[in-house]
Amino acid sequence: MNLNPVFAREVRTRFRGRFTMWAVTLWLVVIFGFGYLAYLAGVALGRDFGQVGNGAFAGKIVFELLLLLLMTGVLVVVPAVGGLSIAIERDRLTLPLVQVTQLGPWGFVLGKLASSIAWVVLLLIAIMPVAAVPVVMGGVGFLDLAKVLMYFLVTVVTFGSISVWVSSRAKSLRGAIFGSYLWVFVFVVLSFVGLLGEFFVFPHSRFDRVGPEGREFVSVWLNPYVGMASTLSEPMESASVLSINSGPTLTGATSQLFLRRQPDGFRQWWQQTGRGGFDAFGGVAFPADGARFEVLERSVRTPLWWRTIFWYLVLSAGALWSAARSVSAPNGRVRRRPPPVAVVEDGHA
Amino acid sequence: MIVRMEGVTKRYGDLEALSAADLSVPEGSVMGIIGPNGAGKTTSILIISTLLGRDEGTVEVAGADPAEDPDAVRRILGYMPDYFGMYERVTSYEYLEFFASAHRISAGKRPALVGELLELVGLTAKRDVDVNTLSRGMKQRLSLARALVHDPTLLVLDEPASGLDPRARVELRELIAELGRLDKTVVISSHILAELEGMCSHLAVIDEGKVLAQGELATIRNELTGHRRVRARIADDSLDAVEDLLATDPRVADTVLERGRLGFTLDGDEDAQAELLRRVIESGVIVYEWNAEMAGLEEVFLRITGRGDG
Repeated sequence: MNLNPVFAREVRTRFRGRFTMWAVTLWLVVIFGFGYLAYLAGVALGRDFGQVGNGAFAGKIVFELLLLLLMTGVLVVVPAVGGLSIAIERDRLTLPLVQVTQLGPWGFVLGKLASSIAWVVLLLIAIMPVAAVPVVMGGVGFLDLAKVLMYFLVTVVTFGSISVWVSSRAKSLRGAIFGSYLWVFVFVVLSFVGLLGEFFVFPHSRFDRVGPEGREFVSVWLNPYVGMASTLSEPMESASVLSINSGPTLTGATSQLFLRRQPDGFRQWWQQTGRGGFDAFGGVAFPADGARFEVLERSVRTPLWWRTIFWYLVLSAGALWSAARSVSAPNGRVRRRPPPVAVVEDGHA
Repeated sequence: MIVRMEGVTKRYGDLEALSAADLSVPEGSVMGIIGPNGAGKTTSILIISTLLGRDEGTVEVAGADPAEDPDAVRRILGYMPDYFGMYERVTSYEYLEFFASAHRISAGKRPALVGELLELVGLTAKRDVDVNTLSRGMKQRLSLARALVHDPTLLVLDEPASGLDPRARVELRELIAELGRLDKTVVISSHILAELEGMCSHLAVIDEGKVLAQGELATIRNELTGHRRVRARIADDSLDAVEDLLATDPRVADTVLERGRLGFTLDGDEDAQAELLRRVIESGVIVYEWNAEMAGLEEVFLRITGRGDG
């Protein structure tokens, strides 16, 4: 089986030389340094909230902060690389040369996507030994580590696809970069503006206690940070995570602000089975007096990150389809002359 | 015909780049498409090469419609535009290897293929050199190798010699001649007519989006100009006799003596020229040199486009 030629060429040239070695080394140094500082922060935070000596709690804090850094890295690097991917081919006049090969628009676009995210995937893999430390400390389960890794890959593919799409339509390199970051802005910042809009349009869903008429905030479904918080605060059947049932972690707080589930019929049935009321990060609320944490009942409704991933995959497919159309040739449609209209005897066509 | 365009119209907004253009390229020919800038040469080439759609008309390349079945056309067509299109940090070998891969040539066959192509275009010594450090002529030859990477039967070259120095131009001409010997059909466009002189077996003249004339180059020349310029070096003591003889022939005009050579225009074909030479020799004149030149492409073009005298 032949490797995608666009991917093979770009990866070969991009990773050639010492730059990659130094960049990965620097990245690991930063990650280790950041991880150590996060550990210190986790220990200090644990002390303040009655989690002294709880390595799992500190591990959870380290894990979350590392992922926060990594997500920021993804949102900075992927639009830059993806945004240039096709625009630079237009700029240096190599696009028509590829268009007349037998590669096809999908092969070209997928090769561009793969090469655009290859660098970030490399950094993602490089971070894994550090990210695995919280697993050893007990703050994160293997299943959740895999889940978060999968979420990151989908996020990288999504923002890569959007950037490649922007790149396929951009008239200039500057426009391609600007357009790619504009979409990051829309997903990260404007989604919160939408959240505010929802807040005022649907006042019954203010951050008060759970009510049967409640609803979710949908405008943050596509926010990569909120989705990430969801993956962390809505664990799968990972006992190690469920064992940490209280504490003001980053995702716990985020969960309370954006992800809190409202009860529904299914949840009531769930409760009737006698299994309701389990607590986890997403089920921890900030109390009004700050003296203790109140555990809320969690709904068993589909976790938010499932929806984030679903819509990310839909968006990725749409972006790649549109990008493939943009680079397919010939792009001018053939308009055929209509066939001569036969005139029958009664004079009607 | 390996390429057939009939009634092809292409508009860019209000501008009609091609206007019901007809073009036929016989298999195995070297077809030169000449015309001034903006005549519609590149538009024609882009349509043939599957890079541009048309508004009206039909196009067939080896029996396939470039707009409907571009993959079929791309399998047999090699395209070389009037720019190089080089990647950064890529060697000549990697550059060709990439395009071979894009043409779905298996990884096992690529090394030998790329080696042969580099040898064909005389770049074997530059195999591991960054493509951006190559000279303009070398880049052009590498581009030609790229167009040949999947062994196409039809090569479409858009202004291949533009910007090349005389030596590189000669090398390119030899390469194209070599391709002709390899039974490739070659379509070359140029607005510099001297580039195509001596390279083409067939010619199409495009101006203002219309194909004004096309066919075998020799036939077009004969039909359009029908005369040739003859230069003869003969013994000095026979000059007057020859001038008298020429004066009696109504097909001869513009007789002048230039640096010891007699020059005149003969309105006639090859047979007429041979017959005149026989008459001169039979009159007892010693002829040291006899050279007849047909009209150049420039004159052909000017006559076809109505910008010449005749």
